[in-house]
Amino acid sequence: MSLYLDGTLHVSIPVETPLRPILGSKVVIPCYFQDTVNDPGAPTIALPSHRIKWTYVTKEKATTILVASEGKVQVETEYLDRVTMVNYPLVATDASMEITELSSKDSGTYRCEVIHGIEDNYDSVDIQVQGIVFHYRAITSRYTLTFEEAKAACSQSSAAIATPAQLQAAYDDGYHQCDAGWLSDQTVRYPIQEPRERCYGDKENFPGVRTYGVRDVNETYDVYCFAEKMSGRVFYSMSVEKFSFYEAGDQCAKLGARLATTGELYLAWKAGMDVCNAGWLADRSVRYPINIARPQCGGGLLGVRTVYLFTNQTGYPYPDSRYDAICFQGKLFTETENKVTN
Amino acid sequence: VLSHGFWFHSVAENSLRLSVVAEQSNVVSRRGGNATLPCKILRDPSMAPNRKMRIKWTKLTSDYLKEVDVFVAMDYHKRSYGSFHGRVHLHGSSPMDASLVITEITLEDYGKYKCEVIDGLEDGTAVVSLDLEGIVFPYFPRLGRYNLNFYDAERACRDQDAIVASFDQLYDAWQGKLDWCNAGWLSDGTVQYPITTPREPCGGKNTLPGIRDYGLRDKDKNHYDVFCFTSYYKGRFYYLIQPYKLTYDEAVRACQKDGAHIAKVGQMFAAWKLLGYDRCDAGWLADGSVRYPVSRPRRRCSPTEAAVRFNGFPDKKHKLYGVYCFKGQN
Repeated sequence: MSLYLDGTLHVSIPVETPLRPILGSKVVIPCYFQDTVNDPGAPTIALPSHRIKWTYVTKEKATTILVASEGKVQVETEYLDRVTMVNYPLVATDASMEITELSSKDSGTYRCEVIHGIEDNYDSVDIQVQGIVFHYRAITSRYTLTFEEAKAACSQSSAAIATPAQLQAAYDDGYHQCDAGWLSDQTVRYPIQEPRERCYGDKENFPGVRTYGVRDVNETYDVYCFAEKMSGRVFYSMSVEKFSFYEAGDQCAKLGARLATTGELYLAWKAGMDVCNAGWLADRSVRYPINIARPQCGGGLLGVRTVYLFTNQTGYPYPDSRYDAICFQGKLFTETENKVTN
Repeated sequence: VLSHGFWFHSVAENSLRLSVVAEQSNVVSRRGGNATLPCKILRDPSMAPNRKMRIKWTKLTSDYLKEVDVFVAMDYHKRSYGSFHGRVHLHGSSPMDASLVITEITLEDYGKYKCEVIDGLEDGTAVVSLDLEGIVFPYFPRLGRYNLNFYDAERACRDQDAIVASFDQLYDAWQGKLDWCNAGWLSDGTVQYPITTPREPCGGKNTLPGIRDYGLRDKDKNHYDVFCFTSYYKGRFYYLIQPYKLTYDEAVRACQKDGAHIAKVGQMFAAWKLLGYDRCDAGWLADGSVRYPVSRPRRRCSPTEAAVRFNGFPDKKHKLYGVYCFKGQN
């Protein structure tokens, strides 16, 4: 008779899906298993005989992250340095894994599979890495923000000054920007994918995040901000005559909303918003979100495109210029109405 | 080599010590037949030989997140799952042979299979497609054109002794000159139709021949026709010789009296395409349609092409047609 005949192997990732860790941070994906397989011949003290495999799965393919068995952990090359089994092999039934340096590319489905003899089982969980890093330049010109002003500028854009880890994660996702900006640790850096004259990368000629090190708080630069999550809805209000900056604000108010901030527009863009008309934002900047490349909308480039006054990409348009309005409406609390019935 | 503490070691140290290959990526069989899905284990001879290897076969779906268990074996332990129970075993010509034999193949067995071999920390996989010889036919029921949501479509094909065709099956049919200007469901939830002669109402006159694709549609709310697929059957499909023409009800009874059942649309298509069945008499089929299969075009009998001709869904009380019956093998 087979030892495994009546056995059942339970694997569980006991969290609410999806997990929403923040860009540049780390996450522990818990995974536990229980084995009711009756194996009277097993030695009382032994290395775990279960084989654990973590996989990153999409609809098209499955990518192995690591395999652990008999106390050994084998990590795939592309995940080396970034993943660890937190309690393996010390806790025999714990297959939890930690992933660090999270970038948006890490969003997706993770599968924890456990095999023992011919038995196998798995559980999976979705991860959505939250937030977006964006470059912010003041209304006047390039490199005009002190460290304190930089923090204030981000906060006015519904964001926080980005951490070095967040900028690094954005770089890992493909972000590049040849403008030096403040980060939360009072350093000044910028992400370069293709080093070139006047846009040097890491150690001059290598792609990477270039740093000027810690700078005096009174020096002036641009800033990198981090917007974490959307707390409402961003939408366009359009009219044939367009709006001046002040009319745009009134228009949003009429719709029970206000002008969106730059950070809110970046989050909307990340969620897929695509509009080929420039619109006013709360900080008097004029921008538009492009997710589908086409030559007549931002020159075939993707991203939140900014309309500058001058060709050297500085200055915001004058307030009497005419554009659409980009509005923001906070979440409505309809749940409170339902509570009355209880 | 990077070191990651006592328990960790890098892949590079022992990569390529185990690999798994399928000598053929494609195996063709038919309904009722057998197939051997090839899978060979290649193992570095320097690896310790006393390990138990675990072989597992799963069937892939259009979504990688949902594999279906087929078979697993590890030394003396073996298990087969679900509809594969009792129909699958390892070929086992040598310890390095992980090939899977499937017997009594059904239409649902069509698809991609994954062979996974595990040896300690090492593992390897190979994917093999199982294709079936058969025929794709467009279908709509008595209710008329564009009346089926995806689940109705699945049922409609099953009722005609078929299953919803895959894109690859429709593509092969298109290469075999299938031209059909009504959009139909495919098994992946998309809606498409094959055009070999471009014309205005079928995606435009000045377009290239091809399969027109409406993309993924709502499986509940959207209504189309369906493309069904069927293969060889075990049994006999025949035209019942009768002195008179029959109503639908008389047709059903006539087959029963002959120890058979009124034939299904899929059985007529299979007989016509796979066995060259040819008969110039319009006859009732189980779904209330009237059709006749012509494999040798001739005057007054589908003169321009070999085809299953379709007379629609006439009033069931009309005493105007013969009947096609089907007798199962047992």
